Amino acid sequence: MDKEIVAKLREHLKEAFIEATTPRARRLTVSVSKEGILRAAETLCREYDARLITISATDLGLDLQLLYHLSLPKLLVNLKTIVPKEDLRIASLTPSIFGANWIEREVHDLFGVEFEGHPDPRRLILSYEWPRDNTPLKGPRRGLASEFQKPTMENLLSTGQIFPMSSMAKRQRVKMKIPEVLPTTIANPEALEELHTVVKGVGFDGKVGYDWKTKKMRY
Amino acid sequence: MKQYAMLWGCTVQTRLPSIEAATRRMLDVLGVSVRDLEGASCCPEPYTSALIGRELWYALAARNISLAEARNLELTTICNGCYDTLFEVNETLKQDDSLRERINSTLLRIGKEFKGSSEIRHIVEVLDEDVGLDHIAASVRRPLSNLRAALHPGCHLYRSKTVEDYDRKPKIFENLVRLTGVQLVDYGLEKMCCGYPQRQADEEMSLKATLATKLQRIQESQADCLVVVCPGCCVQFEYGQIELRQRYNLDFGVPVLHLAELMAVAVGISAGEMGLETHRSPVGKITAKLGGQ
Repeated sequence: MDKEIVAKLREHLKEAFIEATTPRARRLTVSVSKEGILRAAETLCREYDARLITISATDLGLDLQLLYHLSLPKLLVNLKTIVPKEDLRIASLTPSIFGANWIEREVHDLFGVEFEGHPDPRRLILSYEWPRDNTPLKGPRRGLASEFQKPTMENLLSTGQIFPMSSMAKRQRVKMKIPEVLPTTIANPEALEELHTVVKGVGFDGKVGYDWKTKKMRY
Repeated sequence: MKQYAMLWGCTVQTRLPSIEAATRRMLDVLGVSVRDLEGASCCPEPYTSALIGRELWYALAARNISLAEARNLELTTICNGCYDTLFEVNETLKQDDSLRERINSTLLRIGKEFKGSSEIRHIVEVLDEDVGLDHIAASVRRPLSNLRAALHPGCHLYRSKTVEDYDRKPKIFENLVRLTGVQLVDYGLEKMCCGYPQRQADEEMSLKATLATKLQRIQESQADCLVVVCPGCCVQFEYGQIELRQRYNLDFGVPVLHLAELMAVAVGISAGEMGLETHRSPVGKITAKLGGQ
């Protein structure tokens, strides 16, 4: 049955399907992107008679992890998705799975996740006077690198060297009659591309929280 | 004479180019041929990346080593930090088959392979074993006998395969400095760390407890300058002195030179030619003793 479900989810979710694992007997964990969570839950409920047990949230530092626990006959499925703290929005299951109603309101109160399309997003756990920007179980965005280490990591990942090549250094080098720039990753785009492939290959960018667009850490 | 691939390292190429200029000219005089390691990245440095992502540290170092292997060249460096990374990764991957396979599966994506076919040589080993102390002694044109120098070998120069071998390279460093004719002064804290890596955890401790302690003893020893063999240590001693002065009103005024710069002066290269004035420590104080511009 596990294989059939995985195949069905893969077919329905397409690029939103990330991976599936079976940590133990009668247990299936499926990682999906946050864009695919509604489709995944709807598929399981519609085609396999799944029941939503609860949603649990975990603060991973840079992101929140949401685990949707669904009970199927003789199988427990966990849909796992990551919501970046910069954009804590995800589709609400409530319009199609009404049992998600209070669970999503609780996660919203405690972690600040906005469940888009929720028909009744009132406070549930916290009092109505509680400050809007205070989400008691969500910490500040933080990653592995300290403030001291961040520039080092950002330079390494963006240029392949840990210090930037300043125009002053270039002038000094020319005056000393040595090459203005060495044939390293700074001056060799193909070599830099290789470095980026290695960085992505070992998953370092995700681990350290590097944003390829801004070339900065996410924190 | 052998030809080497040279990994200059990030610090030298961007912050201390006079060390590179001195090394190139000094090696020219001594007849050593080095080729820049084309396509090289940071070694990567042995503090941040090794601590946060060891797999990346292995993979990028293995990639750098593979660039030299592909050219059938032995890899050398003038930086203790680069040496530490390359040496440790080279030895570890040679011995750990499963790790080597895992790293090579990553390198395969970029068409590279770590073979483990070469040795990593610190520049002091190249000078000692391949050039020879006799040849260097015969090449000295300007003995610096009126200069008193304190030495700082740096922690990573002690990196070795065996316990018995741990101080071989620091001794070579000392012998090379002696060949230039300088008078060595003993300040008693030669083996103490410069404090550079401690900055990650506590800058104040790095500067006041470690760096200032060493500089105080060096100043008391009446050395004219400090000679290092690591660009990272050089940055710590130079920029650290500026910070000690600005933050804590502690002024030591100790000029700092890299071994290659001292040797370049001794074999006849002028201080101005290699840009010693670009140092951030008061190297101008000893220019006259180095034979002027």
